[in-house]
Amino acid sequence: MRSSIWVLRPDTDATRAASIVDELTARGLVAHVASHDSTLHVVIEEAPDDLTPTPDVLRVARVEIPPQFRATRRNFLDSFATALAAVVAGSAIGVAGLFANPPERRGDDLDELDVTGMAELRDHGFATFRFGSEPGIVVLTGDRLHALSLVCTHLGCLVEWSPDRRQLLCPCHRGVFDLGGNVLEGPAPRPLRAFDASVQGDRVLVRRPGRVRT
Amino acid sequence: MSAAGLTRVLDRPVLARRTFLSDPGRTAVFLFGVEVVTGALLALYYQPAPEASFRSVQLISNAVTFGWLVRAVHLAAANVTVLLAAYLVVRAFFRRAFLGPRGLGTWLLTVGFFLLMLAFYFTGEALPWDQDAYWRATVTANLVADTPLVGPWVAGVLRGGADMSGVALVRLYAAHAILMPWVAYWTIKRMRELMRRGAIG
Repeated sequence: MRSSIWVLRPDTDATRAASIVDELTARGLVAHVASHDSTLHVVIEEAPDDLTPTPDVLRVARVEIPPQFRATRRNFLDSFATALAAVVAGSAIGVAGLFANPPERRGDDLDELDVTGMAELRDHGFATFRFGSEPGIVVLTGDRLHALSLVCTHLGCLVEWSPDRRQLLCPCHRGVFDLGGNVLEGPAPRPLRAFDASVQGDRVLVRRPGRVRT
Repeated sequence: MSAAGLTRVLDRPVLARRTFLSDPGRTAVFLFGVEVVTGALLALYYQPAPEASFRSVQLISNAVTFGWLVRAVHLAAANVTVLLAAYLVVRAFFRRAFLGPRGLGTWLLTVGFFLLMLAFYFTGEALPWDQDAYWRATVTANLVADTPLVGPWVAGVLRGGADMSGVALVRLYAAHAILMPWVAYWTIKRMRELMRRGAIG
């Protein structure tokens, strides 16, 4: 069945056009208002041949509208559901792709860290570093290197190196550690975590001791 | 899915005024698909070894892009699947699905599906191998061991020894990720066949 386009008289206003559509809809037809060159049209899909135009109609055109262009609720829902499914599937594939891409190396994967040069360490006496996410310090006493984590074993505050007292002090609960990491005072239950420090050429390197490779 | 395939799904006739629970088979297939996809993704990072598994789970949750999301979806779908399986058992009971010519088979299948989903849940829960997981797995294994006759043997197979160990973790993982998905696949398939014939649901 073909569709009808009713070209309305120029003096017809949009309200009247809408009421024509309402009348047609009430009769079970699918119709909507369109406008072209500032003239209003009423498009009636699958209009029966014996449909009589209202007096407002200037001219009637019979056209064949291909099914995929008919503005039916079903067409709209189909394309809407397809678009929605495409968006959902696309996001799921995107999430999976990003997930499969391994994250950048963090401290957990770090084997060895180049902290500083031996010359700088001799000048300052100590150097701080970040082993992945864990802050640490290397202290030089004579020829010996002490490498310790700065994370207090009590509640995870960052301890500070006091060059005067030659001790590490925790500001949170008055913990005191010596250069071996041992607890001298305060509530910390365990010594500070130690790193293995070594010198290669002029560079000072630290690594985690006894780490199980997996 | 192509537009035509989607339209076919949308055009499938359903009874009026029914919800997604009126076709639990389809819901189960959907949830199973979600679990397979997210599980396969999690398996890209998960390491079933006592010293590595917790760290690998933390890596997924904290470092991997959308790792928290994939983990959360895997867990959420698992929760819904257990609820669905429980719903099927309760429904079968009140509809007296255990009566009739195929009653015993469908009843055992429904209850078996529920137990399988519980087993999925318990094995999956143990995989992070933190204190929670370890002790829950220990408690579950002890419960299994108290089953008459076969209990000690099953618990021994689960644990891979007298106590919970790294062997147990590998076995739980293998059961969760390799063995049980196939059992679930055939169970859901069989249930959908019976549902189509009207024996269930």
